[in-house]
Amino acid sequence: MMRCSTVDSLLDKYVDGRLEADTVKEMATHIVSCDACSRSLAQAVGLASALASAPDGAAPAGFRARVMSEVHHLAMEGYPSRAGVADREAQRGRFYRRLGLSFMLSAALLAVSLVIPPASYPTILATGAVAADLSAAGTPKVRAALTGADRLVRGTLAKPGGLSSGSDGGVAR
Amino acid sequence: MTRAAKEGQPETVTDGEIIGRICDGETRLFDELVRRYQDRVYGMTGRFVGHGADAEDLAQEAFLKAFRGLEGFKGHARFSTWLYRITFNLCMDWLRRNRKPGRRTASIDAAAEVADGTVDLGKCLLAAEERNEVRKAVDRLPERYRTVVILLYYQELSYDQIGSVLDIPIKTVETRLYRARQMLRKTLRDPG
Repeated sequence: MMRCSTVDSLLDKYVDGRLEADTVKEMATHIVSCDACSRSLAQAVGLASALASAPDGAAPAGFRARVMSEVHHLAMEGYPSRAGVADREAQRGRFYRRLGLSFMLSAALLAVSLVIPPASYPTILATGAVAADLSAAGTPKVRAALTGADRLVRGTLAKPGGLSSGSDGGVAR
Repeated sequence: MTRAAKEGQPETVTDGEIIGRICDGETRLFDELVRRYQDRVYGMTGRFVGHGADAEDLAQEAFLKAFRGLEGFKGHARFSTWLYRITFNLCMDWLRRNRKPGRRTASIDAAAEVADGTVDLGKCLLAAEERNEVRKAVDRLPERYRTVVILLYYQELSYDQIGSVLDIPIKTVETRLYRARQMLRKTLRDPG
């Protein structure tokens, strides 16, 4: 015969329907002859049923509409579409490209300023004399680098808006 | 009537399909997800913080948080489980911010307002007064035990889902449920 303590430990499994048929039979044999376990079983069954029977409160009227109104605003901000995410990533990409270009221009200007005296800048821009000056400076590698930087600076200056259109970081202003 | 039937299930379009279309720009379809889960989400917030304006605010925030994070939803778990987890975390944050020491804010009693009809206990019947006693007993459980009871019985989540929502192993879910029931039985046997 099953003991009271064993029955007590099996009550939850019984209520959840997780006991083998043989165990249930053995348990039932004990319970019909034991008032205490009979009451425990009634309580366990009653507890589970009472807990399970309480319905949830339905969402208040208009709840869905209120949520969707907010969702609409979020959608206007680009949530959560892939297009919105792609836009944000593209913006980040553009920013880093511009930042990189700014650094390149700064480096080029620095290199040029190391070689050319500031007094001659107006003349250089007007006459294109830099390449000739550079051709006489340093090793062939340095000359090639400086000439490339010179072209880059000229190309940038020649674009509409000049340096200001391509620098988010403000490095080359 | 089962909850599924009540909410018009089985749904012809799955949550995953809806989410895919929302992420592709059809954001108005989120309305369908709200329709499917609003009662459960509101039910959960109501259980934890008491039915009322706070519960509604939290339920709304849960849906908005889900919407904002929909792009990051990987589909490893069911959408419902993911949403319940968001809801649960919001409830816990709310409780941490608002609950005074030694006082339980969640009012299971409030749910009595929506309880109707008699409870079929199989061979036994519990009177309404006794049902209220059960709710009070649940309300008095320590939070970790009250949580699993609410998620299992009121939210009708499976053990798996409870584990996912609470981020605990199923074995722990079982243990907490066992202890919760023990406490409830003891309380109901020896009230006061």
